[in-house]
Amino acid sequence: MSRTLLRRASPTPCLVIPAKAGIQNGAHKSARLCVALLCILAASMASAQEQTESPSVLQSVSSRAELLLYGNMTDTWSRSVFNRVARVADDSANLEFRPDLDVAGESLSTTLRPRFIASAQEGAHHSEAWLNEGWLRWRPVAGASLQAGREVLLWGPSAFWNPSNPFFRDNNKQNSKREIVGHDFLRGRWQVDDALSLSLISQLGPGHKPDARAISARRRDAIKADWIGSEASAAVLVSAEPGKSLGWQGWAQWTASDALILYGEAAWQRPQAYLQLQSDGKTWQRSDSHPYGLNAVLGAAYTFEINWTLSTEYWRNAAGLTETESDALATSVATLSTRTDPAGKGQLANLIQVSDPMRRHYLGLQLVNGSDAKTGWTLRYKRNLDDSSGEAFVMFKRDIGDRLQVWGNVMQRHGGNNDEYGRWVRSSAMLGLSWFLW
Amino acid sequence: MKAFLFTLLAMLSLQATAAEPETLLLQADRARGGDLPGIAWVIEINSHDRDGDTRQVMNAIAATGTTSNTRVDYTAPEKIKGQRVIIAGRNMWFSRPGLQRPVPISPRQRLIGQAANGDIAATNYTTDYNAKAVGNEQIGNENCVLFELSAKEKNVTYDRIRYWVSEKRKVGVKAEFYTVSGKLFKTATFDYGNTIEHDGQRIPFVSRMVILDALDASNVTTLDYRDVRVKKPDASLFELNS
Repeated sequence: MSRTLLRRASPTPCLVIPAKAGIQNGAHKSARLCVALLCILAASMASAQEQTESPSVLQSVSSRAELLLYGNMTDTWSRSVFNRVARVADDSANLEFRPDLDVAGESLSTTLRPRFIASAQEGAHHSEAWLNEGWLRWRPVAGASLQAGREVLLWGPSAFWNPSNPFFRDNNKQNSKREIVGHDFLRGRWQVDDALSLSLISQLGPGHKPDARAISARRRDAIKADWIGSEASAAVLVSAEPGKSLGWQGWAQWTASDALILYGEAAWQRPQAYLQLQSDGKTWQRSDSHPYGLNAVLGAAYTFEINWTLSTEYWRNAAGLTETESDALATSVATLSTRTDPAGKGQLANLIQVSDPMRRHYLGLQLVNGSDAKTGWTLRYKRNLDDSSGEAFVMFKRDIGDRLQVWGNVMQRHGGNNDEYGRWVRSSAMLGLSWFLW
Repeated sequence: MKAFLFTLLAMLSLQATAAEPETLLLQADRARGGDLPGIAWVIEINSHDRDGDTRQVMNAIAATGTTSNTRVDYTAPEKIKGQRVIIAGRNMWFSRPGLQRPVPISPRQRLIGQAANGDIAATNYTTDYNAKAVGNEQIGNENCVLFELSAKEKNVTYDRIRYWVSEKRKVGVKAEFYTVSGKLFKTATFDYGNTIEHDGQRIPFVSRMVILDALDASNVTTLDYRDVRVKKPDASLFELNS
């Protein structure tokens, strides 16, 4: 690995190696998928109209579009040894166009969310088009549906971590201006009664391109049961990649009072592609053979009378490094940092993102003002309880009339050389303007 | 025998009189979306306060019965288009396009904003509140029965309501909403320019609700209801990942 790029302004270090040919190929595939979905939809609507001659077959068509102009920057700790083998992409200016189309009929509905971006950095330009989400849903009978296509399938009540979701690591709550890339899914859903529903979900593969914020875009199947009661709700699911061990996930939330929500998410599973310390105590290798472990989030959210909501979460991350492993990692990094050969640099680059997150115990605090306020803000802080490093994140938005919004966010980390939040990325920032076209 | 018949008639008469307020309240609920299999409507909210005027438009779908579910999809203005609130009993979730998944929010947020999320949902006072007819009063030129309503469960928007129902039109014409601490919170008046059909009957249906803030008289919110349709919605419409 001669050069590794870090996705800019991402609060979590994520390694991406853009391959131009791959992107173009992805864009062509997306365009084909987009056209195919539109053709299927048109044919289905025509067919449905012929069969029923009902004027209400097409129940609703809605669309919206947002144009975003923003700049971003990311900075690393100057002391970091990883600066020798990887660098953060330069500061950039970006223009993004995000149109959404939703068409709903009696038995068929579809959503298309194509995306277009143009970026400029260091005198170079880059543009890209892809289908971030696009699916077709068929409801053959009331309460049952089949859905195929690309989507971002997120669930769970937690504000920081998302262990109940075997498909996506990020829950998009830290920086919602940066969209998660959809995966290709096939899913069937049966509404058993007013409260209970069952789903069969197959992740068929990555969508436009692998997203570093996704756990894995490989084929994975799941059975999920959702329950919504009058004061609580919960979901359990079992998932597995073909031929691999089962993972058990779930979440639950309880509205304990008018102002308090208690919740939890958990997973009992083997970590995927876990960077594991080998028996020699020096080398590290990615493997799926890590023993089963419990990842769990316990949280509470309290809404004050002034409409501010404070969320507190504790996360136990079974896949994180122990104290011994962490010390071994520091030794490995120190050893590799003196090597100048390509193999040594490659190994060092491989140790930037050991696991996400890196250690076993975390605390998260979030304070948000009301969603209906013209000026909105979010303050977040997460702390690694094992090494005492941490990350603060501030996000704000200000509405200007009905169509314009100014927004921005700043992330700042603290910690020592070998601590999770002190080892490479130090800070990031975004400042942007959204124009809601229609 | 005569005495027995007289007594029986008197008892039946008393029972009919006692049942009347409850029936009246049920009819008033129907005119605001309650006691129906489900309802869909478009709501336009115009608010005026010291910061200026705001306008919001939303599509709301409500299912009543064993579970009171409501889904609200915002359609205007552009900056909130695509936002969604799902209410299932005491559970509430909020989502918007960039967020890509629903976020749980507490019932306290039902009360926030000039038009609380609870005002947007269908009204089911008969099942949600203990009702007591406490007298008759004139509202405008109409003779109204005044009901004192106290919440049966904690999953309702308001803890206590004073509700005036027209004896003639069988619809609620005025309401006062009180906080748990007993303070007057909001006052609302209602117009019934819509008509719906249910079980072969034509029922007057709410077309406008005007809410006055009890603490700040400059805060006035008007909810206009249109395109009202009676229909039991598919439960999957309230699914969080739909």
